[in-house]
Amino acid sequence: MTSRVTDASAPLAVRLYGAMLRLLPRDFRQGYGAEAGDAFNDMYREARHRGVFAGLRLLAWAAGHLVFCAARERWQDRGEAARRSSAVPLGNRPPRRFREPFGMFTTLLQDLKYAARSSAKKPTFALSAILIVAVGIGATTTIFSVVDAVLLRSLPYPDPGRVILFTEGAHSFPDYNEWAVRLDAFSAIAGVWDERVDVTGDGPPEQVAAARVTTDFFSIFGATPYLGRFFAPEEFAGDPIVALLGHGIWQRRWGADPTLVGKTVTIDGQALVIAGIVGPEFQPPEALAGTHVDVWLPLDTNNPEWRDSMGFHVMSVAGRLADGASIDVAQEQIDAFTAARADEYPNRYLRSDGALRTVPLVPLREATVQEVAETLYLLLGAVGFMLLIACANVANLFLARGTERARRSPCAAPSAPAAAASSGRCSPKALPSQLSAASAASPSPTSA
Amino acid sequence: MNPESQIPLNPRDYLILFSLVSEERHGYGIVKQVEADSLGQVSLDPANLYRAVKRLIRDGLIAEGGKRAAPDAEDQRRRYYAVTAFGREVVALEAARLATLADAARAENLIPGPESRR
Repeated sequence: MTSRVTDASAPLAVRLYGAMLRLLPRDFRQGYGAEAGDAFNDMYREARHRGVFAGLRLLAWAAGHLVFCAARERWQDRGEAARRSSAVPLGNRPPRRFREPFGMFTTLLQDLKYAARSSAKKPTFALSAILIVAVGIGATTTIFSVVDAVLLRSLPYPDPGRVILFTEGAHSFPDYNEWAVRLDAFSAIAGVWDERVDVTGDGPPEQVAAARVTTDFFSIFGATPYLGRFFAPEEFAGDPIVALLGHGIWQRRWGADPTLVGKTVTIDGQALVIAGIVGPEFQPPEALAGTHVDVWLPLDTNNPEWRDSMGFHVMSVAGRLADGASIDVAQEQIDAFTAARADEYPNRYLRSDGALRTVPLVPLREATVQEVAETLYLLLGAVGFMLLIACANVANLFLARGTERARRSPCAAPSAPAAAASSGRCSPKALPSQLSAASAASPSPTSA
Repeated sequence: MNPESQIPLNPRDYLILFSLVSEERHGYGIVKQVEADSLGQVSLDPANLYRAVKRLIRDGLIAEGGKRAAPDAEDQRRRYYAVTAFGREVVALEAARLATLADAARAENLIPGPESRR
C-alpha cells in the first residue's frame, strides 16, 4: 500500500488520520484504507491553504466521522458473523459452557439473578454505572488497541533496525535500477508494486490484493516459504509464469490443499504455476505492500514497457543496510545520485523552488510509527486517568447504595435475628451487581 | 438485477452516483463534485465516502477502474471509480422519482415553477 499517510514527510495531521484508520475493520482497511488516507491528504492540503484552523477543523471533523464509521462497520461485521454462525446446524455447534449449573456456579447464578433483579428495580442506577464504566473502558481500550498495534509490537523481521524505507511515495523503475547498482551501503534493495488481480477458476471469480516484488524482497524480510519455494532468479525476467499464494487465500479458496503447489491457477486471465505458499507469520510492512497480500508475482524491473519511464512512479522501495554501513552513508549516496541526475533532468529532480528532490531514507520502524508516538502515549495517559475517574465515580455510586442497603440487609447487622445466608454469601451479594455493571460496560475481547 | 429494488436511493448515494455519471473520478474527485452538485450542503469525509463506495460496489452500482496519475493530486496514482450500466439505470430512475416529487410540490404551490405560474 503506497499512501501518503504512511509517508514520513506527510503533515502530522495526515499521519494522525492514517494511524486512526487502524480503527476500521481489517477487511475495510485493506480494501480502502490507503485510498481514504490519500483522499484525506488531498482534502487537508486544500484546507491548509485556508489556514491552520481550517486544517485542524478538517482533522477533527474527519476523525469524528471515522470513529463512527469504524463503529458502524464493526457492528455490521459482527451482525454478518452472527448470521453466519446461526446458519450452522445445531448438532455442529460447540457446547455452551455452564449449561449445567453446579456447585459454586449455582450460587453465582443466584447472585447474578439477584443483581439483575435489583438493577431492573433501579434502572437509573444500573444504567449510570454501566455508562460511566463503559466510557472509561471504551476510551482506554480504543486508544490502547491503537498504541499496541502502532507502538508496542516490534516489527517481525530479523534485525529490523537495518531495514530502511525510501520515502517520498512511489518511485520509478529507472531510479530503482540505478539504485540497485550504485547504492553499495545496502546489501539489497527491493521494490514492490501493489495491485489488485482477478483470480478465476476453482470457485467464484474474485479480486484480491497482489504484490509484484523484485528479486531480493523475501530475503530482506527474512521470510521463508511455508510450502514449495519462492521465485527463482530466472523467473523475474519477462512476464510472470509463476506466482506465490498467501496463506489466507490458500486456506480459504483451496482448503489448504498441499497438492496445489506445482499446479496452475488463473490470475488476471494468465495460467500461472503456483511455486509456493507464503506463511501466515510473514506480514509485509504496510508501507510497502499493505499488511495483507493474497497473490505474489515476480516483478521484472527491466521490462522494456517501463524500464525507461521516468514518470511512472509505482514502486515502493525498501532496502537492508550492508554490514558496517550506516543510514547516513546511504543517504549521502542517494543524495549524490539525485544531484547527478538533476544536472541531466532538472525538471524531474529539482523542485519548483530549485531545491533538490531528495529521497529521505527512514528506518522502517520510524516510518511506520512516525511522530504519532508521543501523541499516542499522551492520549493513552489521558484516557487512563479518565478510566480512573470513572472507577472512582462508580465506587461512589456503590458506596451510596451500600449505605442505603445496610439498613435492610441482615448480613450488614450481625445482631439481626436469623441471618438467611452464611456470612460468606454477604459480600458476593454486592459483588455480582458490581461485576455485572462492569461486564455490561466492557467490550467483548473480539471487538477490541 | 432489478433497478427498481434500489429505489429510493439515500441522498448521499444518489449524489455519489450522480457525480460519476459525467466521468470517472477518484475519491477526492467524488468529494469535490458532490460538494459542487449539492451547492456545498453535503461534505463527505473519507471514511464514510469509502464505506458508501464499498456498498455501491457490492450492489453493482459502481465499479473500480484502473489506478492512474491524478493531475489534481500532484500526479500521484489514484484509483478511479465509474458508474456501471446498472448504476446509470438506477440513478436515472431516482432522478425521475425526485422530479415527480418536485412536480407534485409545484402543483401544491410549495415551490415556484411552471405549474404555479399557470
